[in-house]
Amino acid sequence: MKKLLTLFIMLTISAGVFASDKKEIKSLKSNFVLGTPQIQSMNALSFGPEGILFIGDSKSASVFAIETGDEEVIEKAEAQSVEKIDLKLADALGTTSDNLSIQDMAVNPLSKKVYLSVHLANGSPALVSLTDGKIDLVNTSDILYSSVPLNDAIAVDAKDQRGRSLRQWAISDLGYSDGKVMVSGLSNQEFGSTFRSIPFPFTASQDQASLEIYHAAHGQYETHAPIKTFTSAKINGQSNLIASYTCTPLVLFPLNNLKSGEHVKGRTVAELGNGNTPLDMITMEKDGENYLLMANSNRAVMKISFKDIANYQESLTEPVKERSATRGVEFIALPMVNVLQLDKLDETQFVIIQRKSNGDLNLSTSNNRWL
Amino acid sequence: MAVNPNYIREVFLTFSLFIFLIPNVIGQSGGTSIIWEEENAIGVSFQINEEDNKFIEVFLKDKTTSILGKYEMETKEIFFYPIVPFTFGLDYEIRVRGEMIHEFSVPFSPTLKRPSVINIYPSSQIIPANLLKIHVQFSQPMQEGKTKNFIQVLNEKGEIIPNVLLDLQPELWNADRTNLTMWLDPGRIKRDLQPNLKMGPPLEVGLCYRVIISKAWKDQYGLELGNDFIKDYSILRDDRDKPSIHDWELTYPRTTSLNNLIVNFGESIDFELATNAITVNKDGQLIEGSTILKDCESQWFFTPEEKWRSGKYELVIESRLEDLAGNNLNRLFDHDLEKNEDASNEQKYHKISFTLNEQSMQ
Repeated sequence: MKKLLTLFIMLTISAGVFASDKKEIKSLKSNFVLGTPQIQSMNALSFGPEGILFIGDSKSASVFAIETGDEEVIEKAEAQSVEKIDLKLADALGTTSDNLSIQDMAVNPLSKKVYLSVHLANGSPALVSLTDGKIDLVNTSDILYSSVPLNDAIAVDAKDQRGRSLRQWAISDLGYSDGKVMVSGLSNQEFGSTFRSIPFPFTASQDQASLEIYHAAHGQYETHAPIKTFTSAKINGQSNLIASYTCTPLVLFPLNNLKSGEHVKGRTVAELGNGNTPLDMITMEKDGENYLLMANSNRAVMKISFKDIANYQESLTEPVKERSATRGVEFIALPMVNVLQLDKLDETQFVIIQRKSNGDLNLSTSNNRWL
Repeated sequence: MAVNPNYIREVFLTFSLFIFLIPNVIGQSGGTSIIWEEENAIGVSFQINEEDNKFIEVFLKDKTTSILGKYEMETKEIFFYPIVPFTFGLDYEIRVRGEMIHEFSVPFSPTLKRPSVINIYPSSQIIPANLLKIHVQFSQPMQEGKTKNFIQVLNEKGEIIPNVLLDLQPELWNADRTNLTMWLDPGRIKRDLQPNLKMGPPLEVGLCYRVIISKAWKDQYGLELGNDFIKDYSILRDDRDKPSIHDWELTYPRTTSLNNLIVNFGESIDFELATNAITVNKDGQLIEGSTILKDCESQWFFTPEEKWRSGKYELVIESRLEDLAGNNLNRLFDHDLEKNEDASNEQKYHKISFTLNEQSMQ
């Protein structure tokens, strides 16, 4: 299996290297079908190559990959700004702002267009994009798409007794990297999470690496640890999953080590505060250095240098001798609080949705001068 | 929202009949008809001059951004389907070249009922200090994403205690949004993590807390709960023991009866998991039946759909079954590695076998 996976990754990397080869590019959508995907919720969004948008649907326990047709390459994005975006969304959806919640935001890395998924009070999902501040409907009818069920969620519950409710995996994050769609989900029943790595393009016979991830606090107390948000990045030349748990430690997992069904412990490199849950993570580069930016429910946006992560060879998973001992890599709090959504706009800019002190919910753009 | 046009037309025809029979429910005003799908106003139809077809827009009353949706035209009849249903209680306008030609309202249906809180779990008033989860059961689907605005935890002085419940997005709802699961901040419960060391656990032994669910919380149609729901808790010491099936007491039913199989856990078990993680098998086949919990989720009652028969049965318990502190059948919530108190156990199920025969209860 490992050899097959390695071969798949190499093929995918080859596809990336020869990105100008249209024949290779088309192969990612070769098994897409034309139709209307039965998307019941849009909890998480993430773009892959070729304008493919991945949509995490908790209600149907599936991930959809849809062709947006939004493939025109823009190198330098215009800064995006929409004040009171919740009110504008409400107007465009024919309702009031207390009737909707923005579920996720994703920027198409090709066109640099911002996409938003919104849930209405009655449970209806809506997918929109922004063009110069104008809200447009993203068509999800009669399109090319493919989908994959999150296997365990169905297998475990298929034989359920009548009257028992299906376990619901609330998809907490979704990302595409090196030919794999990675999905984290939180259970509404047990204190636990799933983390799956699903090869893309999706196939009928899925090999979904499903991980049980644990977290040990300083070597002494170990807990099954639900992953809230994650990203992937190369550190010391190795592809790593950078994940943050609901209880806020920041943890590294070498992607090659993630194997199905294993009890996996990551290397904890930081603890990031009290009464807080991480919301979104992105990677930005400046002057040849990479930085992790992380939005939080109850903290300012944090900036962490990848160099510091790489140089921090210890692990908070190991016991610390003194209570006052260091709690991992340093982070810098940027002057951006109440940032609810965060995504990379282009190489130098990132877009945020932020609740301002006057109560307004604004979408705005910042740049790498903060890095 | 993807809507099959043929289905919509059928709905519309059905609706037309319905409007004739019960005009109050439908609401037809100013030359417009609302198109319904169950309780949702999924569209509106109206007539205009053919030359105006390309200049139609639908707005919320007094707004300047037109509503996103799909227009379908049949001679002079226009059908507009917004991408999400119209909202009860709001007023809308249809404009041609910016001029309002029709207006319509979407009234609350008289058949709609206010939502209510059925219960908060744990239902016990006495809970361990390391309580991990609270579940709220509603009578009908609720709005999501607003929990932190509507649930508060107060101390004995009536002061709001922040950061007891984790502000988790996405919120953890069941599929139809009638059951909400909330976690108490696991970073504060888990021993030795920075939040635990700095802030201490969310609940303190010996104190009392009050959970209030605000009456302003709305359901999926925008109807408020109407009354606050209050639950008081007293805090006992931490629960640092795994639930053990060896401590459970079973009361067996008689064969040829529909009597309950009763399991007494000897402690309160997590409501969602006690409801969903235990089944009964006979000869490897699932026995259909219904489950209820009693005595603060410490007793599990199972009523089969068909009468009990003689033979061997198994009570199958998924290892993920948790007590109130998140300890499951295989592991403690945070186990002490130095004490080696948690032998590795990865089994997915635990089973209790029993035999029923015609002569006696076992």
